Amino acid sequence: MYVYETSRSSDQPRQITLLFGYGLIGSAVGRSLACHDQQTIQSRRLQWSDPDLLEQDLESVATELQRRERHEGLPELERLSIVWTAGGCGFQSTTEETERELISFERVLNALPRLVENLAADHAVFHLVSSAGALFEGQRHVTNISQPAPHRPYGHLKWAQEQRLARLPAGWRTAVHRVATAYGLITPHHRAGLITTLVRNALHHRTTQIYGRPTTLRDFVCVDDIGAYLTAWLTSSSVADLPSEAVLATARPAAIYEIQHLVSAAVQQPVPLQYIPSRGNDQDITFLPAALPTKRWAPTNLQANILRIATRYRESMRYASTT
Amino acid sequence: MTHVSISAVVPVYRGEKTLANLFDELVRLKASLAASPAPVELMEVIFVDDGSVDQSADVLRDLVERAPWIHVVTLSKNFGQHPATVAGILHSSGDWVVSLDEDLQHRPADIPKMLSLAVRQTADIVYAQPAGNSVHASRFRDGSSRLIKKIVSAISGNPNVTRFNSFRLMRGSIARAAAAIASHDTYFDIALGWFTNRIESISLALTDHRFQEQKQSGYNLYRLISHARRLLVTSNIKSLRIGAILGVLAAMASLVGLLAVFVLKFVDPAAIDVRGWASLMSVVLFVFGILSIQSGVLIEYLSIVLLRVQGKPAYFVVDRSADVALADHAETLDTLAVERVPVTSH
Repeated sequence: MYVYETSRSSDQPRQITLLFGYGLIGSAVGRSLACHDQQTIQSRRLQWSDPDLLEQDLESVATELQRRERHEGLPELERLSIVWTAGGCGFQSTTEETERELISFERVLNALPRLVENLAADHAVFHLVSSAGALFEGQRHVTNISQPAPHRPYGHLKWAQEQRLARLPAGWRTAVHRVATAYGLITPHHRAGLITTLVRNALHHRTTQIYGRPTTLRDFVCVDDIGAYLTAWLTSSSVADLPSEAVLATARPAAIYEIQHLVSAAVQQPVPLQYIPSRGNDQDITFLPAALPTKRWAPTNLQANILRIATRYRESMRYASTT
Repeated sequence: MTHVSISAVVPVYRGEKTLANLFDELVRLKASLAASPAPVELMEVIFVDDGSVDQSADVLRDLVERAPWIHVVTLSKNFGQHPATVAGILHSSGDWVVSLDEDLQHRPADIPKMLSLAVRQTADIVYAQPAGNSVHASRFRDGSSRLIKKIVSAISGNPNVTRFNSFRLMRGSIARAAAAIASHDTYFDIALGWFTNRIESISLALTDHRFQEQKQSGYNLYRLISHARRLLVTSNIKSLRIGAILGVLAAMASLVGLLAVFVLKFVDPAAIDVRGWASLMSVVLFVFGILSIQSGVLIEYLSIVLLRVQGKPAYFVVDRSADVALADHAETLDTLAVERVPVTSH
């Protein structure tokens, strides 16, 4: 977990953001916040498996924040934001695994009201990063009026997390961001998506196994775009227009076949694939423009991003081989 | 049966006067399909603003406000009809994709008939063919287009070239696969042909009212020639092969010539009355033969590289299983009444 605060040199009102989860999406949010006058003031590895330790961790975060308020003459806290991108579950997770993750989520939710009370923030906003792919699995042409219909435990977990937000006290603003298929720069310890896996394997001359078909359509979203969108709202002076639900997609579906071709052009090598038939994974999930947020959402070009990922990874390989 | 979805792709260049009418007919088509028992839906329409030169962008902005199933893709400059079609297809997600022009030369009301033919014949592509009429009412315009296609068809050995038309219904997975490998110079219909040979045509009344009324077209002679060049270059591994074969034949001819000079020199030296001629000819023929062989080999490798660069697939897997069930509704699609919008400019 990372805690960000508006830099003292900034002319923005003071805000604190608690970022739970520093994976593929969380790290993109963190990078974007760092570029927008938000400095890291705490970081902590939370004890998810032990409820008492988890509560202690959250208490100590709150205590430290209160201490800073009292002793460092900080301006009034205008907004406290929580961003939840945490979670180790995925599409292949079992019901037991998702239930454990839901319990961890609930513990954090239960601890938040006290945190807000202690910090005396004027406003509190909870941003939940959910999964459009899990919620709308098998649905095509999803719009803003489409109803989630999860098929798997992971989808039910995401739906349950969204419903749990209603338990937050009145006065909390909530925003659910349903992310389509995320991809981003390759980082060693984070879960890699399809595109990053293809780039990495192609450059290492490895075959990638794909559970699905070459013609399966997905909507690929760059995590940096997600980071930029969330940061725009986190640092905004007003969240009056913040949508309570939004699908973060591009409305530009791409088949696995096309991704293979784009990656091959970017790495300038063949991209060997092995397709493993898998019912469920071979269903298209696509979104129409009507599903997308109308403000502050500006997805970038897929081809350019793939090229960027390939270039950066190739540079890191070159660097690793010379050190 | 799961609904079969159709995506429509419309490249836009000079459509301010016709887009509203086109939209109206698409709305009527969508409503007719929704009301019919056939499990088919017009799911989205993708307008590709290809560097439009009039107020088309404003018209498109208005259309997007009126229908959430309208999608506008704006290109950074004018890239041409094929690249714009490719861009639109790559934004589509329908089971079937139909491309049509902006000016109601191609009537959305005819799309169900095209789909009916496709599923009855298990075809992957259906091209519209002008039903005997002259599309542009211009002998030069229509005649030159037909002639160029016939020439290219003969040179390339591809009989489908004469069917090519911008009003085409394509199986979604194949359209997107072809679009994925198309580059700036690829003739899109040739790329489609790399993925399937199940191609049909349907005779429809196609009339370019805009050209006939205003004598205005996006195509002039230069563009038609450029079009033909691209068609030839994309389809033409065969002409490269001809170059390779000619190289080998030239090498063989030079070898025969070389032997003839040797035989003449030793059998009847008196026949050669110029001193040094035999040596000079021997060297010239020998070197020419070597160069011809090398050129032939180079051309052969070039054709392999070209195929690779163009992205021609080694194979492609397709799923046509939904056609059987949809073919039961073919008659409904053939007779679907869609009110046509009069072709008057707004």
